[in-house]
Amino acid sequence: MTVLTAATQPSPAEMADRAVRAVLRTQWDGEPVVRLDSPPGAGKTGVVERLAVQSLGVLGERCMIATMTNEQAFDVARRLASGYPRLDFTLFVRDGLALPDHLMGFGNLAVARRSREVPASGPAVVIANAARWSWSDATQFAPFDLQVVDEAFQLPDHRFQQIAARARRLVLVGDPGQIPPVVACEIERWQADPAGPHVACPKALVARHPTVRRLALPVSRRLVPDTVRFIQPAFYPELPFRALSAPGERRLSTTCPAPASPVDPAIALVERGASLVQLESPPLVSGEVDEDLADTLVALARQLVARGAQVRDSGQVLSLTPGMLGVVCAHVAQVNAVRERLPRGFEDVFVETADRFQGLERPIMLVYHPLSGRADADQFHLDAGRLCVALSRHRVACFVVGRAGIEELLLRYAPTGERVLGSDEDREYAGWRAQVGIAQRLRAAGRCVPLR
Amino acid sequence: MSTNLDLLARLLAYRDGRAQRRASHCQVAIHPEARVVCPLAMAGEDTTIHIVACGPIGGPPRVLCVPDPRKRDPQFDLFARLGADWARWFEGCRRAGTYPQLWVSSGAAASHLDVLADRLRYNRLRPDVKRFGELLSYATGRLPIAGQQALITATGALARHWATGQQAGEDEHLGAVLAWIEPPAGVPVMEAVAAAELEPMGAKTDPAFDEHTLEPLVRAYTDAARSGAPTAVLDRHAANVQAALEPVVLRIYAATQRAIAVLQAAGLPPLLDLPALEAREAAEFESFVRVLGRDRGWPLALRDGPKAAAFGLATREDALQTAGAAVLLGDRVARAGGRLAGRVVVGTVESPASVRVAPYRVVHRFELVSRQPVLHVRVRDELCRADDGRLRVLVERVQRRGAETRLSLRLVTGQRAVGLLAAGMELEFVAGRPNWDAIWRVRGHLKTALAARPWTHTPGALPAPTPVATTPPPADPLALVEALR
Repeated sequence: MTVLTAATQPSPAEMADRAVRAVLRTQWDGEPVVRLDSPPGAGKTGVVERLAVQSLGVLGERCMIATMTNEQAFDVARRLASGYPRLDFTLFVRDGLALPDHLMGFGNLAVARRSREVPASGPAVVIANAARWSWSDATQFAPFDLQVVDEAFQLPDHRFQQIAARARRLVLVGDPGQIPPVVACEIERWQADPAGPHVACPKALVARHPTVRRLALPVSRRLVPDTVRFIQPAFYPELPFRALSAPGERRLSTTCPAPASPVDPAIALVERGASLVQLESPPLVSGEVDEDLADTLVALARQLVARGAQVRDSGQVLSLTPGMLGVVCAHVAQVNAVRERLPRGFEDVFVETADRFQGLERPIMLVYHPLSGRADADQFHLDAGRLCVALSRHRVACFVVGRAGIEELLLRYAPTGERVLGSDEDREYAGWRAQVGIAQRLRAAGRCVPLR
Repeated sequence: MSTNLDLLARLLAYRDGRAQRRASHCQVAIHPEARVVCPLAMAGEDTTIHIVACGPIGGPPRVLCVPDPRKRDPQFDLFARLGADWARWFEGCRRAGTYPQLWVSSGAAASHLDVLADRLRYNRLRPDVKRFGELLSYATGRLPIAGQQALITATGALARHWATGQQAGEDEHLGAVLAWIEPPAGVPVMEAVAAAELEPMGAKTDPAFDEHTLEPLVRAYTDAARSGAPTAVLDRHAANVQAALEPVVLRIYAATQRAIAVLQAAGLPPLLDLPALEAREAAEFESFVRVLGRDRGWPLALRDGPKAAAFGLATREDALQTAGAAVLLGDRVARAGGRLAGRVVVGTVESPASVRVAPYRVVHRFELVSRQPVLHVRVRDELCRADDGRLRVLVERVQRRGAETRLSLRLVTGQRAVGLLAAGMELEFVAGRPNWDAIWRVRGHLKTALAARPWTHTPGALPAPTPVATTPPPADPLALVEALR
C-alpha cells in the first residue's frame, strides 16, 4: 500500500490534497481498480465526489456510485447536487421509496426509479445503493466507465460481485477500521476463505488480486491530534495518519458556573485540552441497560449546556447546543434508555447505535462503553470496529462513560474463540487487543475520571 | 430483551425443578418417514463409525457394527450397507415429492455426520461409499440453514420448545434435557440430571469405558486377525465388541426416540408456516438431486467459487429472514419476545387523518403511540401489520418522550383492502412477513447478475491500465475538479 507522504515534511493540509490528487490521477492512468483506505473523517465522501465530478465534468465519462444504504446514497446525491450546481446528477432508487425532503429542491438532481429512467448513454453520474444497482436491468443503459464504491468496507463481497462488471474501472473507498459487513447467517463454510462472500469487498479483492493498486488517505480532517494519538495505534496499526487540525486549534470551554456535578472533573479535563476522557461509575454488573449510566450520559449533556459550553472549531466559536451533541451506544435498548431521559429542549441530541453512527460526526460525543456493566466479553462487545466508530465521531471532544473494571474484565475474558485454518483474521482477538490498548492508554494518560 | 424472556423461563425452570414450555406452537416437522440415526465413532478416529443404530420413528433400529473401524474394508462395507438403504429411502422421498429427514441426538452427532460427509463424498476407492457420503451431504449441508427440516438434533428441537434450569451449553446433553422435561418422581432434578449425564449421548463413548472395556475387546479382535485365527474365532471377538457397544448406542437411540415422542405428545399445534418450511425442504431436496446433478454423477465441490458462494449466502440470508419471520408471527411466545425486544411494534392509533393531495389521490396518516421500552424503528422504515400484511406503512417520524414513543405513519398500501384505521385501535407492526417465494426471485436474479463472472472475481492477472487520454494527465487534476464547483 502506498501511504502518501513526502520526502519533505508537508503540512497535513498539503498531504491531504496530494493524496486526493494521486487518487484522481489514477483515473487518468486508467487503473482498472484502486483500493483507497481511509482513516475516520479523512474526507472519503469528498474523494468520492471528486472522482465522480472528474469522471463526468473533466473526462466526459459515465460514472456510477454505489453506496451501502439508501441514506448514504441520499447524502452523496445531496452533496454532489449542492456542491456542483452546474453539473447534472441522477439518483437511482427503487420504485415507491420515500425520499427525504432535502433532496427535492435541486434542479440538477434527477430521480430515476426504473432502469429505463437511468441515462441510457453519454456522460452521467448515477448514484444508487448496491442492491439497487444489482437489481437494475443493465440492458437498459450503456455500461459505465467508472464505478466508485463508497463505504466499501461495509459491502460484503457477494454483493460487490453482483455489480462489479457494471464498469470498466473501479475505485473502492472505505475505512478499514470500521464495523465489517453485517452477515447474520451462519458462514462457517466460507470462514477459512480470505476472499469469502462475507468478507468486505476491498479485502476480498486484495486476497484474490494482491497486486491491486492501494492508496491511503494520510490525514483525518475530523479528529484532533490528541485523539489520533489514541485511535491510530489501537485501531489502525497498519494505516499511519495525522490530524489536519493543529494541537489546541479545537477546544471546549465553559463560560458560566452551574451547580456542581460529578461530571465536572471530566469537563475540566477536556477544557485543559484532552479530547478523549473516560468517566467511571462504581463497578456493577448491570446487564444490557444500565439506567444509572443512561442518567449519567444525560446529566453530562445537560451540564455541558448548563455551563454555557463553547466549541472553538475552524476559527469559529459556537455556543454548544443539543444538536451539536451525539450519544453512541452498543444496543438499541441503551439508545432508548438514553432517549427517554432526555429533557425537553434536548430532542436534537442525536442518540444512535455505533452501526448507525458510521459516517456521521458531532463536535461533542458521549459514548456508552460497550463493555460497561457486562459480566463477560463476547465478540459483539469486543468488536474493534464498533468501539472505533464510537471513539472517532467527535471533532472536539469525546466523553466515554462506563463502569469501572473494564480492564479487569478484559483480562478475565481473553479471547478463546475458534481459530480458523487458512484465515489470518481473528476479529475477536483484534477487538480484544484494541480494547485493551485503548483502556491502558487512557489510564496511563490520566484520562480516567472516577464518578463519585 | 427476548433473551430476558429466555432467562426468565430458565429461572422458572430452576425454581420449579422442571423445564418450562417456551413455545406456543411446534416449530419442527416430524416427518413420518424420518430416520433416527445414532452413530458412535471410535475415540481418536473422527471419520469412522464403530456402531450405528438407525431406524424409523417409533420403530426398532437396525444396528450395524464393525469390530475395528480402522480396518478400511469392513468400515467401507458398513458405509455401503447404510448407503444402499438410504439410497432407496431417498429415492422414495423423491418419488413422493417429499424430503428425507434425519434425527440425531445432539449437535455432536450432527457434527460427526458432517465430518463423515466431507470425507466420504470424495472417496475414490468405492463408488458406493462415495454415494453414501453424497447422500449424507444433503442433510449436513442443510444443517446451518435456518428453518431446515433435513437434519434435526433432538437437543435442538427440545430446546426450541422447552427451557431448562441450566446453562444453554448444558442443553446439548439429550439425557439431561429429558431429565428436565420429565423429572423422575421423588428425585431432585439436579440429581436426575447428574445421573443422566453419566450416559454418553453424543457420538463418542465414555473414555473409561473405552479404556477398560472396549479397548481390550478390540485388541483381542485385532490380535486374532493378525494371527490368522479362523473365521469363527474372529466372529466371536466381533460379537464381543458389538455386545459391549450395542447397549450404549441403543440408549442414545431410545433417548432420541423419546425426544420425538415428547415433542409429539406435547400437543403443540404446528406453526402456521410449518407446511411452507416442509415444502421448501422438499424443493431444496429436489434441487439437490436434480439441478445440482446428483442424478448425473457430478461431484460436489469441496470449496465454493464466488458464484456458488453468492448463491449459498443468499439462500442462508433468505432462510434466516423467512424462518425468523414465520416464528415471530406464528408463535405467541416468540411474538412476546419480539415485543420485548422492540422487533414487534405495538401501539394505539391516534389522530388518523386523510388528506386529498390530488383529485384521485388521498394520503392517509396516523400516529401510533407505543409504551415499549425498546423499539427497532427508524425514520423511512417500512412496516407491515402483523396480522394482515396487506397493510403497509412508512415511518415518517419517531418521537421519544419519556417512556412513550410516538410514530408518525403514512399508509403505503392496504387502505382499501384492510380499511381505514380508527383512533383507539391497538395494532402490531413488524418489519416483514414470511415471503416463501422470495428465494426463487433472488436466485433468478443472481442467475442473471452472475451469468458472466467479472474479472474482479476471476483468478489471474489484473487487466492492463488503459489511460483515458492520449495526452499526459494534468499536473493538478484536483484544480480541474474544483473549478467545476
